[in-house]
Amino acid sequence: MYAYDAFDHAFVQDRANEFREQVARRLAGALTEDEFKPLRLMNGLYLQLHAYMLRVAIPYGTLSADQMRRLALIARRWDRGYGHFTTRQNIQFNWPALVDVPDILDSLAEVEMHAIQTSGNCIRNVTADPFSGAAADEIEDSRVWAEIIRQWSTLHPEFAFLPRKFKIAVTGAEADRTAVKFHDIGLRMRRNAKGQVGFEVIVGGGQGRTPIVGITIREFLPKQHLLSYLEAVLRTYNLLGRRDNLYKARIKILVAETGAAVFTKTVEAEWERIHGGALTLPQDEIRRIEAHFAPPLLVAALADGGYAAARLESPDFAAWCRSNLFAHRVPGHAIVTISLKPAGGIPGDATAEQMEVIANLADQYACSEIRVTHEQNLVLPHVRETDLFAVWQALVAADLGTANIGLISDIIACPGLDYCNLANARAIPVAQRISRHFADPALVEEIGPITLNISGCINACGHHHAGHIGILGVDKHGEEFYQITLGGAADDDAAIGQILGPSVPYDGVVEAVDTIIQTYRSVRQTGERFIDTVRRTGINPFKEVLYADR
Amino acid sequence: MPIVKDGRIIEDEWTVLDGGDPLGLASSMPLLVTPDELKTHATSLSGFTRLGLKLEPADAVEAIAADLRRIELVVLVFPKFNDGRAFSQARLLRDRHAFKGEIRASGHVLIDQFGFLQRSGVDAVAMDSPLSKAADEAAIAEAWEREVTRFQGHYQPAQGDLSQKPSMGLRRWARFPPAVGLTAGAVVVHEVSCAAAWAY
Repeated sequence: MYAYDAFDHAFVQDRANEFREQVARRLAGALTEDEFKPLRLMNGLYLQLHAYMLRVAIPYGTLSADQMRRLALIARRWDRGYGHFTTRQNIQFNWPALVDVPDILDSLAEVEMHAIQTSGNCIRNVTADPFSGAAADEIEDSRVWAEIIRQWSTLHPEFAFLPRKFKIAVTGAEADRTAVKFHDIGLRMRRNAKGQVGFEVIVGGGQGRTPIVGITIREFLPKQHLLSYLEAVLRTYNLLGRRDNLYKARIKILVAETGAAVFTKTVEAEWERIHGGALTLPQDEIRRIEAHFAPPLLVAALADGGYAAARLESPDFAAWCRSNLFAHRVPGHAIVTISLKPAGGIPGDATAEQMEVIANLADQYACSEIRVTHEQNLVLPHVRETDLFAVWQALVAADLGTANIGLISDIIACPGLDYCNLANARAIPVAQRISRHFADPALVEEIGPITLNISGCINACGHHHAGHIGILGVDKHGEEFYQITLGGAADDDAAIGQILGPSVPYDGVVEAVDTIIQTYRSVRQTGERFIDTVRRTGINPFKEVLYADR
Repeated sequence: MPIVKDGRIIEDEWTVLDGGDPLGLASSMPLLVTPDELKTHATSLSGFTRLGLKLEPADAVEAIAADLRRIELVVLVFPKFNDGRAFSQARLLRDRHAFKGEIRASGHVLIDQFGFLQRSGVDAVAMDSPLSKAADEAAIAEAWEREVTRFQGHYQPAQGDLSQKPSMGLRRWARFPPAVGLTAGAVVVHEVSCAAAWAY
């Protein structure tokens, strides 16, 4: 993991001190709420329906066990004993008092954490592949580049007041686990014909009210030019992005209105003038950052007899292994995803006690490392097969043993109307009802791989556009209704879901989802995933059944 | 209106042409014009010894680049504090066009933006927020000074003399104010190894 040096420590502490002053000025009335807003937002502090919400950055979703323990402590001391892991690989605390926030930031700084740029119209916390450094299908570790971008973008003087927020994702694996095409900039590591590794640069993806799949503006960018190229894109956006309409201010609109060709030309022309300058990354500096992410010393092991036996003896363990493990690059090891989606639970929520259980497991079995996924689950990236049964038992004891990763009850949901002042409808109770309905592990496994995403409003924080099944809460004359889309995807074949038909009332959502699933089970071909069926048949078979009686 | 420049309060000596005609004005008068006025009154303005240019956020720096050699002051405008185009304009003026004169941020500027302004190449502010009342000018100057040393170092190269001291050795793209002694060289990257002692 990246470890702060004197520079990082001083910087984060200076920033925490600055915010302490700003909070004091706000509390003394020297700053209006309007003026305080951009300052608190750049420190991750939102004002929601009932209280302030603090969003803490977990850069590229990587946490140490000690950092996780500190999050548990914060949840206990300054919040209500839990935290909410987000689709940006961050964590949100829903009930901090404004006067306490400077103390929370100090506490975070002690464990090399902060809330810088987790909100506001700036370059947000960078996301990366949660399986970085562990996955068998990796080209290079994306965290190295995410860390370099984190540093460069932190309090970047030129890009602190962009037209709108700006999200960057980096993936270094063959399979995309970051929704790279749904970001303002998506960086995908590629190997060119000469065997060199560089970046494919994807720009202008995003969700919200105008969902767009990003387009590639550069097939191959040599690694040392990463920062100058980012600066060229950001400067182009800062100067030309729309500022007259909040809903048309993201870079995706600029790209769409300018046209991909002209936009690309503008960026390339700007880059032509700055590349080779101060932002060129020196080899030894890249190596210095890389050294932080050197893989742990894992010893390859033969298939473990005990592990195989445990799978045979315990069907529950076997089911969990089938859904929650991913291939590790070192034989005899596995990547474990811990589901934060128990039946009837709030997607992404973890109690302080659960955080501590996971921290202890990470220390004992997983090189003290934890990752957060954009699907709002947690990951132990390096676990020996020999230890899997013990890890699973400990997880089950903490209500963290749900075997549903990538299955229908592994729901992404935004906080919705239960917390958020932008929401039109509730998302959490809808997710809870659906996961309760699909609580039978055998049924869930039989349905197979599928994503179901719920947003409580058009801003799409719950990624409904990118869900195989997407559910969007809307307000109809003061009543909550839900629009259903099918066929969205966040992976390599990124797509935006198609609207199925008229929205359904709150009480009809579970039934509608059930009907869609029944339809899928009756029309699918052997071994065909849900998304493949939808792609093959289109939405009509589903539409016909769902709206048959209406 | 007094201006805070480099942390000191100075009087504003510039006259804004403001749609008027420069004919009949003393050519020694420091005169602030728009890019359009500069073009329209090219002949009469050619005799003026001290010219300033006021750029709106949508004005392209590129378009006035050729005029910069006879410009002493560029005023950049913040219609609202969250319209950040002036930051890029300032950097282009300094970095690309090597503009050495005064760059003044005007309009709805917050003191909390001073650090960003300084690092983008802005060296003066004319604020029209409530803080710009006469009694508060000293406070503004003080805030400007405070921002110069707020951070002991920065994560990226940017514009502005105060932050242009590159670090040596490690973290070469970081920048430090000259007054600060912190060096990035004293860093030890620890061997990454697993805490668990695994025996096979």
